[in-house]
Amino acid sequence: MHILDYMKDHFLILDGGMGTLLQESGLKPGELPERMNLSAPEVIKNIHKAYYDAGSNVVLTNTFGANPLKFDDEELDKIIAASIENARAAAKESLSSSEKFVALDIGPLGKLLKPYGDLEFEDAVSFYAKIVKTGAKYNPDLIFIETMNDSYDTKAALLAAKENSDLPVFVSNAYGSDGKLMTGATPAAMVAMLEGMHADAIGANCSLGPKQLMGVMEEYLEYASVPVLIKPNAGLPRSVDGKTVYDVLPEEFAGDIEELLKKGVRITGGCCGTRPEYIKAVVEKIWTMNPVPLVRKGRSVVSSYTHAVEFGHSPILIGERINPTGKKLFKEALRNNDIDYILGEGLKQQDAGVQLLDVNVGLPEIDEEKMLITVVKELQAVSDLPLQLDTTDYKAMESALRCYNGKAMVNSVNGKVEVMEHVFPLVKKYGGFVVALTLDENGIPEDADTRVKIAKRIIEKAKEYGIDKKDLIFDPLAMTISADTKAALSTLEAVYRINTELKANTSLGVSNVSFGLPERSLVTSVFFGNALEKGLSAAIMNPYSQEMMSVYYAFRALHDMDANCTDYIDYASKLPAKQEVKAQKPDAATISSGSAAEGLSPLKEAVVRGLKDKAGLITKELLASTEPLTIVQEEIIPALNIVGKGFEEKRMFLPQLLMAAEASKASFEEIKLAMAGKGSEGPKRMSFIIATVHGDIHDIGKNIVKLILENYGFDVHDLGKDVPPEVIVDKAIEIHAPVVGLSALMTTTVPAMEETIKQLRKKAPWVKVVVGGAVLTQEYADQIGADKYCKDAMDTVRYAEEVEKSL
Amino acid sequence: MIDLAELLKSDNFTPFYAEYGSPAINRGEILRYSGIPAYDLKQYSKDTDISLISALKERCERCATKCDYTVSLSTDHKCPELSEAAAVNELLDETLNLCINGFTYRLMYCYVNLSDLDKTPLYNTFIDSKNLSKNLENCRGVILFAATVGSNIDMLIRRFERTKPATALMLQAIGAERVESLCDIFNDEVTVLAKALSINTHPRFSPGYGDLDISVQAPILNMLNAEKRLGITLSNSFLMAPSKSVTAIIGLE
Repeated sequence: MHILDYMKDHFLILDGGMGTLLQESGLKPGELPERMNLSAPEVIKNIHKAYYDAGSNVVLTNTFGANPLKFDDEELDKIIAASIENARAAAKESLSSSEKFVALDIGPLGKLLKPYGDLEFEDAVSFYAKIVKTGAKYNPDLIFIETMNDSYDTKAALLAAKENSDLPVFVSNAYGSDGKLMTGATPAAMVAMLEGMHADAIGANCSLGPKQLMGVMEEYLEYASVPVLIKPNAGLPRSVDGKTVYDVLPEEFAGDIEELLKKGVRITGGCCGTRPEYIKAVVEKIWTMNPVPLVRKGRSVVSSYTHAVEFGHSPILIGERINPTGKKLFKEALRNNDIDYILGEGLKQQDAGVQLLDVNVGLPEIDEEKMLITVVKELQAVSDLPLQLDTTDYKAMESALRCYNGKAMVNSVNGKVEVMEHVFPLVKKYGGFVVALTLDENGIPEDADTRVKIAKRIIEKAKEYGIDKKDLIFDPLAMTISADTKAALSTLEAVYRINTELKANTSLGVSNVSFGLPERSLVTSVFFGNALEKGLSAAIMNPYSQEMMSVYYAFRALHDMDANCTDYIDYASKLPAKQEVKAQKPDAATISSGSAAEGLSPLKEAVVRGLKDKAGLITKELLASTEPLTIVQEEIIPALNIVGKGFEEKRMFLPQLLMAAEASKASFEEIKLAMAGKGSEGPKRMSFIIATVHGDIHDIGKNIVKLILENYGFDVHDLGKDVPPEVIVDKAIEIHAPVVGLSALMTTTVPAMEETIKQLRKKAPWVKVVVGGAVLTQEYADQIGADKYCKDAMDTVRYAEEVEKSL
Repeated sequence: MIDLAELLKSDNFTPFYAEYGSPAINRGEILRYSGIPAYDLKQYSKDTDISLISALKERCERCATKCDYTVSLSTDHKCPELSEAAAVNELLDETLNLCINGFTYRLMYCYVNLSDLDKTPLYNTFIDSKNLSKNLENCRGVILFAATVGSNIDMLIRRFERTKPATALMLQAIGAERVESLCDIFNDEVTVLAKALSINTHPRFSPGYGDLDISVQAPILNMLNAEKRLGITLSNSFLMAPSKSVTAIIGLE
């Protein structure tokens, strides 16, 4: 019988722990247990058999750590072949009458993925792919991915399983006592991602006893439409008379499992500390019970690597600002590959209160696919908000969906058959929540009726791909009322009808409605309020607009979506009251009079003290009467010098240096805005390339040096961390950089630094190389042929000034 | 929480799990990790453990301007000596608010009788290290442990290092102080329990000290089942993730 058929109306009983039993059979600490498949097949077979005898339907092969990082191809093949053979032999020998299956067990690779670790996502996928391909040759009944404690790693393993076999795949994660994965994901987030990618069963194993996992399981059951599994530990181990015992005994364990099965869990077994007698106790306890029927939950959910966001209840705000359309500075950032600017836009919107970020980086003159991958990876390294991938380039869409850590929102499909045929297969493979525009080959319909008809067609087409209505959100298109004053009414009607007749979610890019009108945010925000009243589930909007945010918070308070109006009150308390704005000015004046005694101007003082907001505010005021460059030369640079000198003389320390840097950055941002308005650019100082060398992923020090150099006006080109020598050399040649700064934290990566210097000497002999980092010393620097060793950021600034003078 | 007498009898180097509540915050240590050298903290006060506020108070009282120190702690205070330091203090408070609830305090530990050391994959590395051998002189066994305060702090650092580097620096410092404080709690508990059994504990020793190479973290984490139970993994250059994690050895004499 196929396991998926068996599962339809039976509980599925898995096996229990393997590790403890192996140790008792002579496994030594540090020895790889997977080798026992070959060296002691009888032992392994007997453990499997004991579980089948106890009533397990499924045993997991002894391959938890059988991966290409630990074994070469030949040994890996042998181990996996033997492990499946051992399990099959046990099934044959067991006299139990239960249906028996063999699962190819896959544990985590033991390496954390980037950005927190050093393993590339695609490398992880290919390692898992090797295990899956090898295993599939020997015909297990299913693949069991388990004890995964990171969402990204889980995605890599499931993707590899789906791409390289047709076997059913179960996915089980290890949750901590806080109810989250080690890297932060909640059960709801994991359910969204794993169901989206069509895992056949999902759940939790290891880490805790069944009682402690109760909350995690309840969350799974609340969100999941696929069967849910649990394979907990026998509680915690302790030592009694020199013997290790677990604090949950078989009878108690079985009782807890019974309770979980009554709640709706359908697949169960045990992990660390459980033995055949635990499985036997479970089987005896539940033999008269029937599984709770599966229910399609129909919840519309997207997820990031930490949490899920659900549509259809409180309206969802999607920040629209990561988009070059009509934004000069953003276009410039895209052309200059200025990722920091784009990340800044993301974080600012997060601070402003959006729940998702739309990401659109399409510009005709750049490689959109490459840019979208970079931005998605970088954004999910700094922000935990789910992303809406906004592109018309299908290749870019697929690549972004692939590397996205969670279940993304996809922007967009529409009623055109050709578009659906491109986008839906991607959503089917990677999961996703899709924005569907109600337009088709005939363009955007003027009336609501045709828009609703198109929406119906899209639902039908999606069904062909197995994509449920719950994973669609319709955008009935806001058009400007300056061209057609009936436009808004049609859109609002369409929102209402899609919401009530089709029972589907809706979203709007609300800003379009006011295009061509003065004081746009007035019109847009009222339209937003109207649409919310018609049942709008989400809006792609500008969170910096106070009118929009006010409508959002007021609407939620008025519609019983904000208990005790807490969010509204919090929002209102942070509104810049008019009196306060006035109060700011005398405040600035006080500073100036007060500081006169100390001889520091207000701006200098704000920078020296690291007062970011004040520095920005004072700069803005000064710009009304003073030339931008005068402010830089007479205020900011002298202030930075005070801090720099204080730092060098050890009167001020690193936190103060950085705070001053942040304050001056706020100042510079105002100046940049003013200059962009005038269409002029200030003179730039010498360019300076900076990078953490190949093999090293530590960039704290490098980032500090970069920040301080930028503060002093140097044109810093940051190549990031783990940068191969060739990349540094190419950049040095491309911009003819006078100086390259290299950073390394580890002794093991100093050779990479030496190699980079060697290549620079050969191909860019004019370059001065300055090195720094925890392991570097003057002696080391001399040894590897650097021009200069700098002990800290200020030291580097001084050296850069020296080189600049000599040019 | 730990049953030391039982631990000393445990078989097969079985690893055990422990979880603690939030240890008391040591502001002096955080400031030291953030780059304010200990000698300067001592200038405020002899006790590095004292909070910066009281250190500032003392300094204010010594100051010639004789201003009210409660005013001097606000960033609007004009005292040139103090204003920057007060700003650091505020930054520390803000940053603590941001991260303090995101920590978990977990560790795995096991006992290794030194007469059984040759049965472990640690044997060669331990014997080859002169510094460790000296540290373990006269010891009958060691407690190995791996501790972590979780990965939430790493995510916050990621988030802020691009936009608010001073905050990121404080987060680094707080994370370092948190995991060290976790180690201290565990270590102190072991020391007290050992004393009751008339056993002396030696100062804890970590891979990376002296000549003990950090690559030995691989077998230590493996023996402690730390990847599975704590989610601690190693990079190719043997650094741990979550970054605020520690492996250490406590000698028992």
